[in-house]
Amino acid sequence: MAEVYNWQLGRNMEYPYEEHHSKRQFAAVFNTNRCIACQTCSMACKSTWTFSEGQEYMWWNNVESKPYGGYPANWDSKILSQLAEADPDGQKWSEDGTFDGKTIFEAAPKNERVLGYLPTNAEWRTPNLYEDTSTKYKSSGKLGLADGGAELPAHKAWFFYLQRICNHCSYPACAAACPRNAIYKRPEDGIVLIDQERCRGYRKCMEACPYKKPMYNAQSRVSEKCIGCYPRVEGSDPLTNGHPMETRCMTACVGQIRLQGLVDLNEDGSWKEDRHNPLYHMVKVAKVALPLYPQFGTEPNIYYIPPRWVPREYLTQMFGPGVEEAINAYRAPSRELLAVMQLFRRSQEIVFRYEIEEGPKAYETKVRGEKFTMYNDTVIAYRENGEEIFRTEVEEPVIVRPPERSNAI
Amino acid sequence: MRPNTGLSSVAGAATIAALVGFVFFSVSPATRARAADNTRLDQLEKAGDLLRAHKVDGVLPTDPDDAKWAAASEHEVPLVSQFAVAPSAAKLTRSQISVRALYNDSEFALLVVAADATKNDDVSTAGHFADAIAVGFPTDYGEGIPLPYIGMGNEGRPVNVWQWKAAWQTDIDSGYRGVTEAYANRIPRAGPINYVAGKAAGSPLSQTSRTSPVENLVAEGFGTLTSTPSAKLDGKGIYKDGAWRVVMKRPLKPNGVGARIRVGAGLLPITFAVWDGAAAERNGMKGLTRWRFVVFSGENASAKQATPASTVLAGADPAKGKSLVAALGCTSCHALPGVASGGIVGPDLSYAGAIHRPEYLLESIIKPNAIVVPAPGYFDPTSGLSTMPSFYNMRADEDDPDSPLIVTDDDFRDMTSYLWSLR
Ligand code: SF4
Ligand code: SF4
Repeated sequence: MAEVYNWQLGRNMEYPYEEHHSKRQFAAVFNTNRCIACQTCSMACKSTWTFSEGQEYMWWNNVESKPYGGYPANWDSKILSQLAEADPDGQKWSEDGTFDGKTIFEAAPKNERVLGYLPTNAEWRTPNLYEDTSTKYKSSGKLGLADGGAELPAHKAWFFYLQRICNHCSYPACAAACPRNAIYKRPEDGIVLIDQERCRGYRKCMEACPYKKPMYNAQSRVSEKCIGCYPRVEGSDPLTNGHPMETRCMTACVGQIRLQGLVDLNEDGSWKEDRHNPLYHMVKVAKVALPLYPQFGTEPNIYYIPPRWVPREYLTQMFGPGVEEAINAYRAPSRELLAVMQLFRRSQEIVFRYEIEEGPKAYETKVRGEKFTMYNDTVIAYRENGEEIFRTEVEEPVIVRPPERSNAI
Repeated sequence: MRPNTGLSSVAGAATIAALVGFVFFSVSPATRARAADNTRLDQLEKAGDLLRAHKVDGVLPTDPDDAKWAAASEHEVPLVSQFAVAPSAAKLTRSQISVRALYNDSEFALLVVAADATKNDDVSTAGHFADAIAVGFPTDYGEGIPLPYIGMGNEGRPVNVWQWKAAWQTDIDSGYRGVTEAYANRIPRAGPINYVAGKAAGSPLSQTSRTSPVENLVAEGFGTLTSTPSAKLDGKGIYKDGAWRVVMKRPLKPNGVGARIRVGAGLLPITFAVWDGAAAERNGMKGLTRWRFVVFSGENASAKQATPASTVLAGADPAKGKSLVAALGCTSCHALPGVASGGIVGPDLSYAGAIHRPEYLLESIIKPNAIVVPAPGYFDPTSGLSTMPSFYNMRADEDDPDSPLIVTDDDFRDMTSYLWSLR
C-alpha cells in the first residue's frame, strides 16, 4: 500500500494507490439542525437519476433518522463494529486531533483491499427502518436515552436527521476496491464515477464503501452510484447559461440546509486558502462543519453542522473531534459566519465567492450566558466569473400583509 | 557436481541467469528428433501438464451430453484458490475439475466438468452472484515466447479468456432475467421512460439479447480484462447431479481479438478458472489452475516450447529446498505448509505448484522484478520494484567477489523444487 496524507485524520495512512488530487473538489455543508426530513432531496434525486428499472431500491440521496434509522439498515453500526473488532479498543482520537486507530484500508484483511461487507437484500429494502423504535433501546442512560424508551412529556430520547449522499471522497474506498479500475475520480472536480462500460458487476465497491453509496443495478447487472449531478456542476444544464449549478438534492432542499460548491485544492490535496469561498469559511475558518465518520479514512467531502441536542459522545463517534467547537460556533455564530449562513438556497448556482457589506446592529441577546450581537449585514454571492448572483440580508425582511388581504390564504 | 541436468551444452559454465534466460525458451538445438519430443511429452504428462485433444470428424459438439465427448480422454486438473492478489478467497482451498478437448480442421472445443453443490445462475439482486467457468490462452505462444503471468497475463504478454457464465446460459435458455422477471408481482411500470445506463454505455453485461453464453475477453495484467466480441465463440452449460458440465468452442482462427489455435504448430498453453456463485465468488476470488499444454493427438508437431519440470529441476532436492526456504527467512513473508506463523506480506505459497510453473517459480526467486505483481505490499509504488529481496549473486563478503555465494544456483533450484512439490 502507498502512504497518503489524510488531513481529517491528521496523519499519513495506507491507501492502495499513490496520492493524487483533483484540481478542485466537490464539497458541501449540511446543517443537520435544520432538516425537516421532508425527503424532497431524495425525491429530487430519484426523479432525476434513479427512476428506471433496476433502480427501484436506489436512494443515492437518503435522509435517515439517527440513531436507529439507516439505509441500508445499520450500515454505520455494522462497519463500526467491524473496525472495533479489527482494532479492539484502538479506535481513538488523541488529544491533538490525530486519529490513532485503524482506517478501513489499514484494517483490511489480507485477501481484501478494504474492510467492508456486502449488505443483504433485506437491508436495502427499507430506506429508514427503525427510525421510531427507540423503545427497543436498552441503554444505561449514558447516551441520554431513557431505559423505557421515549416517554412524554419528560422524555430524554433524542434523534436527528442525517442527510446522506456519496461523499465524493478524496480517497474513495469504492475506487480502491474495484479490481477493474472501473471507478475514477475526475481531476476537474473530484466527482467519483463508475464507468458503466468497464464495470462488471462485481460489487466490490458496494462491499468497500463504508457509506454504502454504490448500488448494484439488477437490470443492467452493473453498479451505479451518485454522480454528483456532474452535468449541473459542469454548467452544462441550460438553466444557468453555462454557469456551474448545485446538484438536484441541494437545490431542492426545503429546509435550506444544504450548500454545495467546489473548493480549489493545492497539489498536496489541502484546501487552497480561499477566504471568501463559503465552504472554505465554514469548514476551515469557522470550523462549524465536520466530515461524517472521518475515522473510516476516505476523506469524505460532505461536511455536517452537528445537531446541538445530541449527546457529545455519539456525535464525536460520528463526526470526530471538534464537535463541541462546531456546535459552539453554530450556537453563537460570528458576525461573518452568520452572514455566510444566509447564502444557503438563495440560488441554484454555485457560489464561488462572497463579500459582506456591514449593516446596522439588529439586536443584542445572551446565548448561554454570553453576550451575542446580531448585525443586519448584507452578503453578496458571486459566480465563478465574478458576476454577482444575488445579495441577501441577515435579517429576513418582515412583510406585513395589507389589511385587504389579511384573510387571504 | 550434480547429475546431468539435460543441459549439458551449457552445464559447465551455466550460471543461473543463463539457465533462466535459456531453459525456458530454447533449451534444445534447432533440430530435435521426434523421440526427444516424445520424451518431453511423457515428462509433461507425468507432471499432469498435458491435456490431449482428440481429432473427430464432422462438427464439434456444443452439447455437453453429446456422444462425441466419449472419444476425448478425461484429465483431472487441480484447482486452487487464487491467492496472489486481493481480492481473493478468504481461505485457500484446493479442488478439482475434469477437462476434455476435441478438435477438427476448423474448430476447437472443451468440456469442463466442475462439481458445485448449488446452481447459481441468478444475478437479479444485489446479494446474488452466479457460477462461471473460464479458460485462458496466451494470445501469442510458441517456442521462445514466455508464458504470460497466470490468470490475467502481464504487460506485453496478453491472454485471451473465454468465460462461460451461468447467468448468460439462463438468459439464453429462458430469456434475460431482469427486474421484471425477478419480481413477478411488482406493479407494472406506468410510463415508457426507462433508461438503463449500463445498456446505453454498451456494457456487454447489460445486453438483454445474446446468442452465446460465453464471453470473449482479453487481458494484459490485473485490472485490464476487457470484453471484446467474438461472433463464433459458443458454448453450453448444463447443471446436473451436483456439477456443471460446460462446453466452450470456437473456430481455430479467432473471429476478432483472441488467441489463434495453431493445431500443427505445437502445444497450446491453457489454464482454467472456476467461480462459485454461492460463495460470492467473482473477479479474483476464484479457483485457478497453472498453465498446462494441449497436445493435438493427430498432429506431428514439436513440443519444444514447453519445458518439463523434470528438466528445469533436474537433480534438485525438494527436502533441501524446504530447509533452505526456512533458513533464508522466506517464511517471514510467505505462508507455507507446516509453518505455524507464516508471513502475510507476500503471497501464500501453500499451493505454489498448483498455480505456477517451475520456470516461473525459479524466475521469481532469482529475479523478483521480472514480473511484479501489482498488489499492495508486494512492491514499492514509487519505484515499481518488488518488495522481495533477491539473493542472486549475493556473496558472503560483499567486497570479495571470490567469497562464496550465499545462495548457489543449485540452491535456487532446490527451493523451486520444494515449491513445485506444493500442489
Ligand atoms: S462515499 Fe463511497 S461511493 Fe462515494 S466516493 Fe466515498 S467510497 Fe466511493
Ligand atoms: S430536502 Fe432538505 S430539509 Fe428536506 S429532507 Fe432533504 S435535506 Fe432535509
